[in-house]
This record gives sequence, C-alpha cells and structure tokens, in this order.
Amino acid sequence: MDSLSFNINGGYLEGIVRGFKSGILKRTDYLNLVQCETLDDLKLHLQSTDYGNFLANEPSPLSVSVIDDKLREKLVSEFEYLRNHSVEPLSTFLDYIRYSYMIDNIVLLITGTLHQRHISELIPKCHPLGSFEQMEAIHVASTPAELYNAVLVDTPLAPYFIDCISEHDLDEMNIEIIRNTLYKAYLEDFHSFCKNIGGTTAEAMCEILAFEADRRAFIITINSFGTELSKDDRAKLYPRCGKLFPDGLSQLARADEYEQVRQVAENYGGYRTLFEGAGTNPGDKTLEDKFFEHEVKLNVNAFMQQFHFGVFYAYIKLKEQECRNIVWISECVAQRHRAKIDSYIPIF
Amino acid sequence: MDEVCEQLDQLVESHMDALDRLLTLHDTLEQKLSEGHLNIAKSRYSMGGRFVSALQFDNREFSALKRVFIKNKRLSDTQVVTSFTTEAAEEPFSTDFSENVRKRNVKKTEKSTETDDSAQSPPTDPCKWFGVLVPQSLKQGQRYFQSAIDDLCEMASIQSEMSSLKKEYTRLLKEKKRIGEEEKRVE
Repeated sequence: MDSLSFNINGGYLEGIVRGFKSGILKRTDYLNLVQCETLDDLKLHLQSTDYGNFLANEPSPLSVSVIDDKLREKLVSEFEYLRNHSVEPLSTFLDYIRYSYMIDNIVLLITGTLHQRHISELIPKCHPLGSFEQMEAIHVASTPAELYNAVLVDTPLAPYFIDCISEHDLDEMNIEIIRNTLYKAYLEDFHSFCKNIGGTTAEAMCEILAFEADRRAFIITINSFGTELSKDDRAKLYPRCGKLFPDGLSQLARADEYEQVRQVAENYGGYRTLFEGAGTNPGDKTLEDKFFEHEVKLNVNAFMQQFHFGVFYAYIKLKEQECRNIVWISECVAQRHRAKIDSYIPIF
Repeated sequence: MDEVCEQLDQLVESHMDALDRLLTLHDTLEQKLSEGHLNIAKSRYSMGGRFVSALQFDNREFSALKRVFIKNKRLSDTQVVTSFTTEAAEEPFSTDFSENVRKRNVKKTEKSTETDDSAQSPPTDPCKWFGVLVPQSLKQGQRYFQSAIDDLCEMASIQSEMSSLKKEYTRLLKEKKRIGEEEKRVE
C-alpha cells in the first residue's frame, strides 16, 4: 500500500482505530481491577475507563457472563462503525476478520442441534460479528452434505467447506474436524489475500497469521493426545501458512506426547523460548498463556507502522485479549480464588 | 458399671476420631471444588465463554459416569451403619446381592441377559460435549470434580457412622444411669 495514497481511503479509519487503541486498558487499570473484592467494585473501576457506564442498566447481582456479553457489545459496535465506513480493499479485509466468528457460530449451532437444544436458545449466544442470514436454517442439517447444501453454499464460507462434505451423520468427532478444517482453509485464504495486497500490510499480517497457524498446529497436537483423533486426521487439520510448514508439520503429525512436540519447537528459535517458559507446576505459565503473550506482542508491534490494514486486525485481537483478561479477573473475584488472579496478560 | 463407663469412653474417642476425619475431608472437598471451578474458568479463557456453558449439555443422554452403592451393615443388635461407595458406571450391574445391598437402579437378572449391548454401553465422557480437542484445563477440572464425589461419599459414610455412635452413646448413658440407680437402691 503506497504511503502517499493510503490516507485517501484509509486515513480516517486508521485515525479512528488508533484512537480506540489508546483506550485499551493499561497496567495501572489492571492493578486497580485486581484489587476488587466484588463484581460491583469491578464495575465501579471500569466506569473510569473507556468502557464508561456500560454496565449501568444491568440488574444486580452482576454475573460474569453478563460482563462478558457487555464487553463484547462494545467491541461489536466499534467494529461495525469501522466496517460501515470502509471501502475496498479494507472492507474485504474486515470481512475476513468476520469469517472466524462465523465459523465459531456455525460450530456452536451444529453442536447445539446435535444435543437437541432448541434453535431459539442457541441464536442469542452467537457472536454478533459472525451472524449471517442462513444461521437459523442450521437445525435442519444432520449430515455435513445437508449442512453445505442448505446453509453454507450461499455464505462466504462455501469454498472452505469443500473438503468436509460427506454423508456421515454429524457427531462430536466430525464437528471438531469440520471446525478445524474450516478454520485452516480460512487462515490460508486470509494469508494469501494479505500477501496479494502486498506492502506493509503483507509484512505485518503475514507474520501474525503465520504464528496463528503454527499455534493452532501445536494446540491441536497437544489436545489430541488421549483422544480418538487419528494421526492422519490430525495432520489434515494443520494450516500450512506458518513457519512450521512443511517439516515441522510432518514431525508434529508423528508426535505422541508433549516431549516430542517440544522437540519440534526446539528447531524454531521463536517457538523454543515459548516452550521453555511453560510448565504445569503452580506458579508456571501454561503454554497457552505463552502463546497468548506472544500474540499480544505481535499485535502491539503492528501499531509501530503506519498506512497498513494490520492495525485493524491487531486492534480487534487486542480488544479480545482485553475481554479475556477482564473476564478472568471477574471470575477470580467472583469465586474468591485470588491465587491465579495475576495470570492475565497486560497489553500496554 | 465400670464396663459401661469404659464403653462410653471408647465411644467418645471414636466419635472424636470420626469428627476429625470429617473435618479434614471438608477441607479437601472445599479445595477440590474451588480448583475444579477455577479450571472451568481457565478453559473458558482458552476456548471462549460461549463454548463452555450450560448450552453444551447433551439433552439426548444425561447419564452419570459414576454410581453410588449404598450398603447397610449391621454391627450389633442396635447399630446399623450405612456406607456409601462409588463405582464407575461402565461396569454392568453386578448381580450378586450380599449383605443387604441396596442399589439405586435395580435391574432384574433375567432381563439383563436379554438386553442388547447398547443398553450396557458405557456413558459418554461429558468432556466430549465441549468438543473432541478440549484444553487440558477442562479435563483437569473434571478430575477434580470426580475425586470430590469420592470425598462426598466418604463424608456421608462417616456421618452415618457418627450418628450410630451417638445413638449407642445415649443408649449406654441411660444404661449407666439405670445401673447407678440400682446400685443406690441396693445400698
């Protein structure tokens, strides 16, 4: 993206997103939140931040899920504002961000249908950024082929579903496979879209997306130990747009235990440090925490450069991490279990 | 008279002992439950709050992974102690009834030979409701809650032991009073 011409279409929105970014909670805000004794205290402290009176109309007693929903509402309204004011290619870029939420919603709805929940219970729980028109029709689908023909074929996710169509009945295993296959196809598509845009956007985004791909490969491998997912099936779920492709991924496909996964990470400098710091002893950070930390670092770095689309993606991801942090602190406060309350990840 | 007093002392000792065990179990139960809930919160942190909630409960099949066996043991003419033990629900219902075993779900023995395998199939692990590739924290939370169930059963057994000890104690106290009055009359 040429720095001279970016501001014609993207200047206003980059300014807006940088303004939003300055409202992200700082370390001092988190220190205040951690000292709260009750959820009402937490609400009081959040009033002095950019969130303002977002919990004002909620009946007490507050619950953590209400806080979670309200935090998400604010993010959604900010995203909608950005999307409504954008033009190509930024609008396609922002749509790509939406697709990951769509995949989450589809999985939520199919799982709910499989477990015989009524569609009216499930729809309110879907993420607003991922809603699409055919959502309500999901409950008619009982096989992946029906799901494709009835629902997905008219959505932007249709090309991602090509590998998953089959006539077997939906059960927990193939729902999990569908989730990960859709996400893999989405990530690879997004990566090539960013690469085609080129310039600073490609520089910032491709690094972030490569890490996301590798992180998914590691997490899928580790979580699949002890389950019925076969190694071949697992290998098909690894996204190929990361640094691990092709050698690391083929090694991961053969791994049977955590130590072997660690060995694979030893060959990649950036990932070796992440595995070194992680452990399951009390007081250690978990591997997932280290991954989240690294993701936050990459997203913060995206703001160091101007005139690219990466700042929009980075802002959404940082806001999501902030929501996770606030919900974690609220859970610890609500459960009065303060031992791990400091496991949140400070952003700025 | 001395015999009765000695028995009373022994009863008090065993009662205190049982109370001590009960209180320790209370502590461990509290710890396990709070760790279990924290692990659920951690898995919400990794997976997203919407994916670990009551929405994922399976309405088709809601059967437990563990069963409780309630056994009444008769220690003497007056003492009856109820003991609670847990067993994994994968094993088929055992058909040998000994010592007054009272079960929660009773199946007739002739029927059990006719029923096909699906009725005896093990219940699915509830972790699967949330997906196949669940984070370790969810499985860890499940383990904490499962061991909490074992603790609860032990606590219930100890409580029934304590109540039978208490009954025996009141009975012996009355006996001691009666013997004391008799001895006074003889004098």
